[in-house]
Amino acid sequence: MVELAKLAESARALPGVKAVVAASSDGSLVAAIDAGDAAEAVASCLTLMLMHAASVEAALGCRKLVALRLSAKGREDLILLRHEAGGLGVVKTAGASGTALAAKLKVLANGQNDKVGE
Amino acid sequence: MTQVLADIKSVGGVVGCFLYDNKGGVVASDAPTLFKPAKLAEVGRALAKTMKAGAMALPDSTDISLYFEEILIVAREIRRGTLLVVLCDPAMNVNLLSMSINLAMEELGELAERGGSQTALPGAIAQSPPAAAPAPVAAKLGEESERALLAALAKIVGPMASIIFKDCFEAWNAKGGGDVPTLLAELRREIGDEEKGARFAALAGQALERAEGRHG
Repeated sequence: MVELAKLAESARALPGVKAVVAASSDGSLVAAIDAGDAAEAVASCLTLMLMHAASVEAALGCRKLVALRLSAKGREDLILLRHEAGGLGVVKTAGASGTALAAKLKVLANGQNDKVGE
Repeated sequence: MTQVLADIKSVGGVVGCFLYDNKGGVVASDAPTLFKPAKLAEVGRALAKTMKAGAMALPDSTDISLYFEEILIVAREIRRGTLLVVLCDPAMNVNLLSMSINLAMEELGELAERGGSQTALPGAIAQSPPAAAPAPVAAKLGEESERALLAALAKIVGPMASIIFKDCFEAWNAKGGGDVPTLLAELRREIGDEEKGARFAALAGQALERAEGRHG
């Protein structure tokens, strides 16, 4: 898997991405791009969300969480990707496809940057 | 089975759905028997917590989707404390589902209302009674002890401590603010790691002793 800070940079370069926050598994901020002053608090939230999502995973006996998406009415979405070193949170601009973005993030995380456009 | 849940289940790609209330648990369900009520309640509880954590990053969030390799879970807050949880095929058209939920919002609200008022619902799963009225906490856990516990937790889980502590503290308080060991047990459960939990228990014990010593 690509290093978390590098993944944050690649993710920010994707069309439709407004801001990026990367958090380690203990909730510390690893990287923040255009995320403003709240980046540290958001990093903790991301880690906590992934932790609770793991409980859902365990309850249902699912194998792997691919992505988590949080949506607010009329606002940008937050897309979370689990990483072996923590998690990556991406704020999507209104109008961009969240599903397509999540798929591209997954490809980026696997280090297949050249396949993002496919 | 309630008609509104059956309608949502009839959307192509939907496997099942249920209504989860923070106080009443699973108040109505239309899910395959494969999904046991206890499991659904566990999923609902974890989703509610995920959503609560997410609201700190994205205020006014209403929907959450968890994409697993085998299943897609979509949850929408119907009203404060009540979630509609939909279990779907991973290839589900989420926009179609979202539209179906939008159309059913009014009925879902009514269903949640009936569930919340403990009216017996067809398809409802028996739940424990709502939590007792919160008791004053100050008498049971002083401010200094609270700070000491939070500091001990921060040494174990880092920056997430304040969020975890707030969640557990509120839940403990809502149940009447029982004895401190109950709160400690809840915090240990949230830490989710036996070794870290034990370290926290040791640190918390020392911190509480010091805090109470200053008072006493």
